[in-house]
Amino acid sequence: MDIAMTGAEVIKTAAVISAGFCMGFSCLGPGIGEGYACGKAVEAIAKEPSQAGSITRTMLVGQAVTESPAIYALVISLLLLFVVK
Amino acid sequence: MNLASETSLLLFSYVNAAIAVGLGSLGAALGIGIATARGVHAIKRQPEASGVVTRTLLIGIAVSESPAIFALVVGIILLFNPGEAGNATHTIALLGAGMSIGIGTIGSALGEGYTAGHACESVGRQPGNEAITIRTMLLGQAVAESPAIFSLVIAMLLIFVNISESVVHMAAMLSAGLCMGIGAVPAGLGEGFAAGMAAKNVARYPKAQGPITRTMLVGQAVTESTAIYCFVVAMCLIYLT
Repeated sequence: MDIAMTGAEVIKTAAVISAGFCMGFSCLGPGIGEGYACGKAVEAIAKEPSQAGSITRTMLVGQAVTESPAIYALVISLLLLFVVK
Repeated sequence: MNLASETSLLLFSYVNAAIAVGLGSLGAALGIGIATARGVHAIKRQPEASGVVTRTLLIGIAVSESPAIFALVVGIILLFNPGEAGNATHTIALLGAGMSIGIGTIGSALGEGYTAGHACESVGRQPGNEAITIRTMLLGQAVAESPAIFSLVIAMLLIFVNISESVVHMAAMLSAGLCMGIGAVPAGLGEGFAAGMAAKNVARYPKAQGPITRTMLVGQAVTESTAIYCFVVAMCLIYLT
């Protein structure tokens, strides 16, 4: 095959590679962190079932904040895929 | 080197199969090891509960074996499907498929093994609560399986994708496989941790079974979202580049 590339192709190639890496690696933190929060919330609810409402609320708020790096990466990945020319 | 010659297709099919099965069995082996260690520990502490612990252990490790079986299936497909000669993009897509399933199953298998280990330990302590512990364990493991299933879907799409030859597409296929593979690991690990905590505590506090299962499922659904983002980006890379 022909390896000779135009400048636009080089940029597009770099953009798709970085989109995949950006999304993949940025999930490492949020995925483990949210699972840990969920596990600890389950533990707390088992001990104090009467506080289930407030524990679930706190867990969801914490997970929503933990989610934000993954959302930033999703935005950047989609920008790299569809906006970078 | 010509990427799409007969020789390099054969070479790539061996390498792809090795990546898929080699990395794919890593998580299952570690997870089953963790589960068995906790099971043996539980039997040492409560020898009279060895029957229930062994039963829970076998059910749990059978489930945590399944991501490795996905990897084996994809590995066999990759070994005997070297791709079409003359299309280097398809060769790279097959490499992406191997990476997706190989890396993507590590987290799920490890997480499910962790769940099985905690279930064994708590069944050893409370042999009377065996039924609800196994039920919670299986429910949690089923959710923790889903990142591995996403990886399987992306691997299958990459194997059977019909694509023209260009360097941009080549990069997109490899990137899609890596994105899904790496993105599935933390989701599987996190969901497995949550399921393990649920299985551990449901045996100890069986009265709180309802809120425990509900919270576990809600939390796992949120954790799943990171794997879903990776799935979406991988799909965009495969079809919209």
